[in-house]
Amino acid sequence: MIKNVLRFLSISMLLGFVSCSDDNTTPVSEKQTGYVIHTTAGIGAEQSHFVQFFDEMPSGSIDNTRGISFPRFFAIDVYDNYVISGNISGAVEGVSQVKFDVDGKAFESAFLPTTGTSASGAIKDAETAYVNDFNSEDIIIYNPTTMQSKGIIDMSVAFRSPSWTGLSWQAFVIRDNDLFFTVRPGIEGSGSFYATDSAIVYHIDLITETYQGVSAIDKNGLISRTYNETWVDEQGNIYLGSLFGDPGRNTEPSILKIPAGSTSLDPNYDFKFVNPVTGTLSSVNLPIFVGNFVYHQNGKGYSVVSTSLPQALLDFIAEKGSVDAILNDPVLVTEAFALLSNNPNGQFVEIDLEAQNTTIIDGPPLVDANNSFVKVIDGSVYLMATGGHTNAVYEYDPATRTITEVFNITSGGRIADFYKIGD
Amino acid sequence: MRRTTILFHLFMLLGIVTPQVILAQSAILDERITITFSNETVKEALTKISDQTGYVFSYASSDVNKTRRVNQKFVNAPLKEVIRFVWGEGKVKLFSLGSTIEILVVETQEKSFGDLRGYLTDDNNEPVPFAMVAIKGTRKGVITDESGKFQIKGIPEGSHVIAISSLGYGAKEQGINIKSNEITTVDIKVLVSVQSLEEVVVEGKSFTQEMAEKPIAISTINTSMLQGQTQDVAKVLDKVEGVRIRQSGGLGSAINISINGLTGNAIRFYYNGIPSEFLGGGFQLNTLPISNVDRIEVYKGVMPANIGTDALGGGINVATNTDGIKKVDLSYQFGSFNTHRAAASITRPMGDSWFINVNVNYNYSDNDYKMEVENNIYDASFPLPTGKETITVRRFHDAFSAFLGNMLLGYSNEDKGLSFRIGAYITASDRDLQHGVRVSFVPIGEFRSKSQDSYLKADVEKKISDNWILSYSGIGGYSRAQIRDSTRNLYDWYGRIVSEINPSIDRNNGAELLGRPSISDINSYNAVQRFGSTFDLPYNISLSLHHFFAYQKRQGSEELEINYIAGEDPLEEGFRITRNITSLELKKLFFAKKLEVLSTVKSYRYSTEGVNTLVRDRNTRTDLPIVTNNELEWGFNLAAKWNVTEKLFLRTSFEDAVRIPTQNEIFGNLGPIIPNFSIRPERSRNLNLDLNADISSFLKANFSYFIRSQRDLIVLQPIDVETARFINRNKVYSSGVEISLRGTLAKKINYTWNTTYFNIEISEVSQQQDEFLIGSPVPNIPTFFSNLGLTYLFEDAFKKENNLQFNIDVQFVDEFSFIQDGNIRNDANWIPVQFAVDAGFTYKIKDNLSFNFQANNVFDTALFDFVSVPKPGRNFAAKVRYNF
Repeated sequence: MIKNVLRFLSISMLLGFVSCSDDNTTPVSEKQTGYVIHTTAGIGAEQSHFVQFFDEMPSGSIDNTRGISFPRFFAIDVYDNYVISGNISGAVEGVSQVKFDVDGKAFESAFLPTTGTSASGAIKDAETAYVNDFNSEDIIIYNPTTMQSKGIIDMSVAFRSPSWTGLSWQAFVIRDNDLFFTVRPGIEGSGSFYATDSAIVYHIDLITETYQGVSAIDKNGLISRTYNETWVDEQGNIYLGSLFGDPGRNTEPSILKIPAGSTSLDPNYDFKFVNPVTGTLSSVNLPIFVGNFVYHQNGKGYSVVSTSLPQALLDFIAEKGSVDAILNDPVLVTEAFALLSNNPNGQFVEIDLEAQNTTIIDGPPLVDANNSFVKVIDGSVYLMATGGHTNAVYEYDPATRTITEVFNITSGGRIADFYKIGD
Repeated sequence: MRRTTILFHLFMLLGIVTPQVILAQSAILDERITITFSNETVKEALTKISDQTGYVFSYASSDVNKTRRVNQKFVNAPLKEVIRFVWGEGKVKLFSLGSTIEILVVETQEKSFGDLRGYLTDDNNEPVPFAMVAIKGTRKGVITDESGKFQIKGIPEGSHVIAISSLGYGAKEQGINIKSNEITTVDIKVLVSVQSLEEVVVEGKSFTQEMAEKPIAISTINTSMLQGQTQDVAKVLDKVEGVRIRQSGGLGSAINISINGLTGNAIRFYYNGIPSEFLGGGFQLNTLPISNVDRIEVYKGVMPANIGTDALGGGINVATNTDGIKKVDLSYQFGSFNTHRAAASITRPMGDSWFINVNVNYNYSDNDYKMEVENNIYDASFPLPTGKETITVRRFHDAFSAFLGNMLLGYSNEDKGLSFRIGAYITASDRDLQHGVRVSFVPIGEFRSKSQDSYLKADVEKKISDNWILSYSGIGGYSRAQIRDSTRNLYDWYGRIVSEINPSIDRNNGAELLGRPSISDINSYNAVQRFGSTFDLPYNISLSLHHFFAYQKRQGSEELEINYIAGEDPLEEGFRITRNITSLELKKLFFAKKLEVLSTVKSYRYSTEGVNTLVRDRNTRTDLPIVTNNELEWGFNLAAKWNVTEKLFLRTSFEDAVRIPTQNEIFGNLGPIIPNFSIRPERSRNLNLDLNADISSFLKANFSYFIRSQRDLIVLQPIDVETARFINRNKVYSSGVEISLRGTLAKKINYTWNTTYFNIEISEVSQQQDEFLIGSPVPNIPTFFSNLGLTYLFEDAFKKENNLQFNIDVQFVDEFSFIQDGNIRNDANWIPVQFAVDAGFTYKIKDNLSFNFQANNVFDTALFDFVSVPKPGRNFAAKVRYNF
């Protein structure tokens, strides 16, 4: 207090000479390779995104507040020694290229201006990348190294339902010279829900950078790809996670496939997630909840699945009388989903994409299926486990089916992403 | 259904003019005493009452019946009844002002009146400012201005005695003779007092002073000395200790009030006791001209039962002058950014009991101040922004206009124990919007909102008996808000439509602010009624029961079917919220009235009904999903004040307060904010400790310590990039101090200085992963700020009786981060240390005409209340005011 008063007085003495100085020092060199932990803390407009760089694989207990915080930060893709993120300044428009200076401090190294929010995209190579813009129905083509716009992919001729009032593109995946993504349509006042009952995939030919066509499979929800997970296998098959089940539309979480050599969804591949505990599609009539999906190798992928109902939700069902009573009331459904999302009930699973079954990975505690995920880094599988008292990253060895804790987060909030930059 | 609704609203409107009644403003006269008179003269009897009660009587000696002898025994009788008996024959009116009781003989025939002008100086011929000058035996009294001058109008013809009292000077009385329809002038000298502090005669206290000395923590601003200046209510409040008024732009922009760290909806703003959310868009703190305001009350924590509703951390009540004294006040102000503000206030008494009051004010500003922004660069040959640039531009779509007019008919009859005010209010506002919460690369260029509001207001007070007063206050009104957010045009910061540069670039979703286009008219039907009943009981106990009822229905029409559910317009069904807040207040005086204790228990019941816009089957269902809710909460408070000496008091208060969620927080806004039907009321436990010392005219000091423990705070949580909803969040704990000093130096310099410092930290989180935040500061709240205000007076400047006053105000706000910062500091997260310096002068000609010139942000420094949203740079305003 006294210090502050003195500070006030001393600053008062300089009244009239006050000036604001900006640290415009441009780092002379950047980190070329290393690991990045991204955590989020707080809620609302005050949410902080802590980003910390490590030269080596982090281990032990990590205080991620030792990094730098941003009001917005989410990796659309990672390439070379930089991260492509939505604008890290807090403004909704624009895309930031983020590098790390010699001290490991993340900074915006280049910027791609847009007219709306950009949240999904993919990098083809050092000169070409693609990103969406919520204010446009076209796809932006840009150079990820220089962050210069190169043009657009005209989507005005692409399929859309007459009932859609708007749309945005998401879940971008590139295979050679083909770009695939799905659509999140806006339907009259649809709120935050995906209001169709089909999984839809659009195809772009990257040689001509033109729209080619669309394919869909009914009774599937939104295809989502939150981070830059691997979806393409060694043969060129693309496995896509249609992860959101909606009882109102009878959709169930599933894995879909675009076969190698094809540019359409395989109508015969619709791998519904089965609860590995109960063997059913659902958990007591509520859909199982699936986090992200990542392909690893040899026909194996990984995900995190809600395998049981949290006690809070069971109590809620008991209070309301029955599951049907909840399902018949949209307000109660909303509350039930909130309970399902925020209480540890998820387990990591190994997925056999050919046999179409799942196997629980023993070891990690129950996690929040909505916020936990799996990443593949340098060929190794890492389980980002968060929820309840858990906030750690484990390495999974498929050969021995064992896990080892790599690091845990003691401060900085929920782990949101973990990746490697450079080679 | 519709007929029922109409009948209900009719009932609401009729209800407000039902003559039920009021609140006691002269509880002193209703106090009960036991006293015996034995053959005493009137003067002796009054002296005896004074000795027993501590109250001082003021009356004209010539009115006293010198032959009357009093023989009577009173047991537990109302003081007023005793005085009337002692006075004897003749009709008198009694008024209490602080510890002074005035006895005014009521003339039965019309008298002629004259005016008095005077100049008060001390033995060094220095002017004596802020002294109380009163005409004994009348209600007439004023405070001398900075130059020691005063003017009293409408004094009955004849001989009178002027009574003068001021701190540091001896009390003085002087005879005058007022002639009909003439102005009598008088120069009076007072001597510097050699008495010790304890020997100073107790002066009457102004209403502002009385308010400031209540057991609950309150800062009261008497606006009489500010009314010639260009500042509005928001600007004045921003200089009060513990208070920050944060604005998101220029005139008429959205405001966030912060008191002792509590912000947003936790703080209520009342206009003459009515919560502003029921008054429509024309009522904003930054549009109310100071010249129409009598006083501003800032409640920190506990609010009095007769004003408080469900405020969580205090509130601000702006009170206009409704005392019925003849007044004409006209002002016009103009300034930078094409800002024009005009205000008129006229009060005309009609006979002894009636008066009519008319207030009108109008505000307009282009708000086109310059600011530095980041702008997208567009090119005719490329379908995307080709780059970004940092430029300095004028805001181009932020014009604002607002009109407020009200007419009030007042009646006050002491004999009948009845007073009431009945008024009609009309407001209208029209605003553009330049940006959302942040200034981003793409400005808003067409969004527009309008509001028109009209309502009736009634305040009634009826004394049922000497120890029972009923009060009623209420409004019934209608508000219409129009939202226009539908355009495909996308703008750049030069104000150009980008499609005119490149036709392929537009605003794809057709809306600039709301996420999807909307052309809506929303009608709100409001009824607010407050009933009060105050009983005076034996043993210095008083009991008050207050009930606050508010009904608000939002209903309207949406032009665009994109927002329909099940083929129906959800706005047609609308949303309703009903609030019933009942409070029982007990007050008792102890130890010869040196200790005052007050305790209140409150119940908060609310019910809501509205459309659930969250349903996913909105296109297939055949009916609107209606959701209802009904909740009951309890709260309480306890306050005490200890008068250590006449010039020193201590006070403390504690409360467990509740804030009921708003319509938006429960039902969303039919746009990007989705409903949350399970949201709970916010709660806060508030503790205040105050030490107040009136040391001398050179120094009046206040020291406050406060603690706030909030839980279930309601904040907006983003769900994804498109939607958000309000949720209850962590517990927050704050504690801090406020220090306030003010005084007069060398009779020419007035100073006020205050500083506020507090810690506000997260004390509980809902997620284990956020536990590290416990003990961390809550971001985006300034926690250390200070204000210094100085005025210097030149008397007889350029001409005798004209005054020139210079003022300078300095505000300091320490840096604060709008999110949690990491160990590696990110300067972009911080709003830097800020100094705002305003300076100006006011030239007054014979107390009737004044000219003010003000320069704001003199050093043209970058000022921010919110990150990325700059406030205006150096700007100027001038005002001319005429009053008589």
